[in-house]
Amino acid sequence: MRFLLRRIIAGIVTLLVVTMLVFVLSRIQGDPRSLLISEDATQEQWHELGRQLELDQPVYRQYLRYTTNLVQGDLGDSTLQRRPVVDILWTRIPNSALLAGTAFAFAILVGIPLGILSAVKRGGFWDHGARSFAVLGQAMPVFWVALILIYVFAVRLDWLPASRNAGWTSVILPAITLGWFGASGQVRILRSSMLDELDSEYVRLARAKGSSTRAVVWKHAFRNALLGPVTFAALTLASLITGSIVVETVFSWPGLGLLAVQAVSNSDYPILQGVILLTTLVFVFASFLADVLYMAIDPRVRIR
Amino acid sequence: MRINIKGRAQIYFAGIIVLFVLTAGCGGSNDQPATPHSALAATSTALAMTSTALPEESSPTETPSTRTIRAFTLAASNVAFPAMVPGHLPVAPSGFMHRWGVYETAMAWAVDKPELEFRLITGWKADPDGRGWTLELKRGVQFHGGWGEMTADDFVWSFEDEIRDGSIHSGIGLARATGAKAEVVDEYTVSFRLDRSNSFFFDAFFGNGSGASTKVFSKNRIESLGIDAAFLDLSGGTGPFVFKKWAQGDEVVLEAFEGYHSTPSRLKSVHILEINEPSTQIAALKSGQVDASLVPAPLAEDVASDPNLGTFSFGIPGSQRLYPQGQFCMETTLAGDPVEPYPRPGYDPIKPWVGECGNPVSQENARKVRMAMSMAIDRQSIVDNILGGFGRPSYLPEVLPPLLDLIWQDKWFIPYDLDAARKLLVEAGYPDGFDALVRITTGSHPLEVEMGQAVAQFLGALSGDIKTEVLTYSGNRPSVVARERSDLWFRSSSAGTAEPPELTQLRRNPGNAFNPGLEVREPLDIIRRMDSITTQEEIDKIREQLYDGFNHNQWIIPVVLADQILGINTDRILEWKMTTGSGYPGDFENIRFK
Repeated sequence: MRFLLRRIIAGIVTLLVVTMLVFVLSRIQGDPRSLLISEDATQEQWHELGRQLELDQPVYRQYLRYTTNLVQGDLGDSTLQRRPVVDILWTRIPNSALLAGTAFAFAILVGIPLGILSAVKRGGFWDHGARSFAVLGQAMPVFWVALILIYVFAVRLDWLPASRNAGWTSVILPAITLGWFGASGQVRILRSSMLDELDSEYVRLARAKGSSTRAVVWKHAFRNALLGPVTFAALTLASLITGSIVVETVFSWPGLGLLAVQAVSNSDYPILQGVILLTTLVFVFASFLADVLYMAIDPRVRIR
Repeated sequence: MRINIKGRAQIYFAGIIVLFVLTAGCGGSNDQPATPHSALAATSTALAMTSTALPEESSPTETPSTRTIRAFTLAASNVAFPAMVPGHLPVAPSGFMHRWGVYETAMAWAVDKPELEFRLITGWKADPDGRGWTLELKRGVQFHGGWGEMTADDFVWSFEDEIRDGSIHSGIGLARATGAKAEVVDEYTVSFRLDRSNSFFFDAFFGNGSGASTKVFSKNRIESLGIDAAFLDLSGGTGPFVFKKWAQGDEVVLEAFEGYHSTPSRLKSVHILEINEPSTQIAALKSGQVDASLVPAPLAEDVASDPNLGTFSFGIPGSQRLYPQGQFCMETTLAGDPVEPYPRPGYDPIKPWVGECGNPVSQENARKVRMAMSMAIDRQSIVDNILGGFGRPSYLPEVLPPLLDLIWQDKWFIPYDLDAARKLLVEAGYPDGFDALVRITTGSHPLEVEMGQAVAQFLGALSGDIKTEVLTYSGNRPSVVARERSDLWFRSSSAGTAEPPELTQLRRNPGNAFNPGLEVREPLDIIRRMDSITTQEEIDKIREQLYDGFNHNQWIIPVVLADQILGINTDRILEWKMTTGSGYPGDFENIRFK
């Protein structure tokens, strides 16, 4: 329990530091009016906008107000949309969750079988294939993969939509693009862990005792090889939710990543702050989840 | 349960192999010959896609239900939320609303010709002293959502909302400077009076259909729902389309308004899909996911070469210009208030294009330097080699079609003449040229860096060491607002709005929040002379003087006008007549499908 408690406290501290950084960084950008004000604006309008944005208040008061609101779940209003940031985030979260969930499923459903196959059939066709898959997935730039997939499956074959969320078929291409990197990581980590386990003495003993290959692979080697892939999977899930900026931009997928890009181009800092805070929260939670899973999988962690 | 790992894995892997085979076989260039581009004169963007005879004009007996053909989809980028729709807020995004046919103004540019036509009014007359106008409103104009007929009350409310206390609407400066007041004469008549004459007030608020022009909202609706609620759901206009959905960063859906007071739309609905990645936009167009798409200039040739697609220029092109920054020579604002701080941080008389304020010899030398820089730029080469023909050279600053077409004169042509430019530099006291930094800002046009670097190369051929620096527009803007810059700023815009050119120049008033590095009294004084005149002939004469001044002094160095390009699916769309008025695609009611 002490282990978990330490993790929870570390998570809270991380969140606090991030809120402070987000606030300070947004102020370092300079006076937001210089980005927001219309080129037609008069000096009178300049002052009016400052009043509306509460820039006439001292910085410490602005920070106090910011944190007080934050604790109450109020991330402020979008400067462009004039709507609560929380409401805007909620419109994007389901899309990001759908994309991340599908990409995660792809990463797991492709990565784990390929990783196991690669280890079990070491040196064979499946091993070479899986390793090629992994190298390509980690070496190819995501935007390039996205464009190639769009070109092949949307423009040439006309099987799938080129972009946006326009039904369940829309998620396939962005999910593959996003999930390929994670699948590749799973293949590499699982293959490596499985090879270690398959070479270990207890597996040899099991084989010597006449256990079937299936039992050796699934019951003995796979279970013990899971620790690395589970950690990787938890962090992959977090990065899929929060780190899909490129994929969402290329596919115009209306998720959090695209929202962040749009917020930057519109100089809409309250939204950007909201996305960053949410991102941090997801990462902190994912790390915590990984720790809990550690405890479930490896009893030695519980003892510590 | 038995898991057949081998069988499943084979399926997965086979999929991957197929992907790679397809990928390997599908790359490369398109060898089809490019079709000729249409660098259309920007006064009109109507373009018949085929030579087929046009369908007959709509008959008055045609009902909306017989006319609505289908939904139309358009891929566009950066469709910002129209939070600024309310009149009391700045107006730029409400240009979308106008172009998309949701809100309407008193008048708007006509299709096919650079002329204004009536929309919400049936006529107007000026007071004899030139300080007032009476507008006759069109009868039977219904607001969306069943909020009744538009009356003079609505018109006056909409105007007053733009100029009320706390407003940051772009027209407020003009309205306050002239003491503008609106009055309901009767149910369908509105009058406006100014305390002091102003010859372009009418154009700005009622004439051009963009910028500061008054968009009319239902007063009844706003008073019933409250101002925030009334504006947030985006209805309450009078145009041919009603808002159905606005998902920021994703999709906008418009539906035909069956109660429209003029020819109703042929389309059932319009879906504007936000796709910001240019390659994805074109993929959506090629795959048929959308009927039309904005086309970034670098991809125009690719689109034009597709036998099922066509391209055309539309709207008002973007102005690409070079600001010789640092010309801060005004000690007082137009209103006579002292400029603070003075001198401006960016005032640097050592810069050859700035010169010493108040010293006529130095100012004349600076003028020659600016003219030399202007003559050293081969504008046509930029149009041909960078814009692929989608544009035209520009010789007057920030004056955009259709106004440019109305006022253009041959005497303002600036030749590309390097020898003459060098001679001017020698006369100005710079026989060996000078070093300079060209700051190129990004975020407005996909080819702005290429154009800016081309300008820098042309200047390099004229002068000494010309360096370039690329920075985002937003990154550059704070230092511009603070009047800190004294280098050369190459600035792009992807599209323009048709507004009286004097309004643009008035923003050079040091009293304004923003200034691109030009606070010079002479053009402002010329514009102010317009306040006391009333006839079009006199206005035209003063405009000519203004542009003579800009042409002679090159306070701003115009470079090129870059077209906005649309790609359309020619299998589906027969014709799309578009008016000028702004750089946004619109006028969906004029689309005809095959």
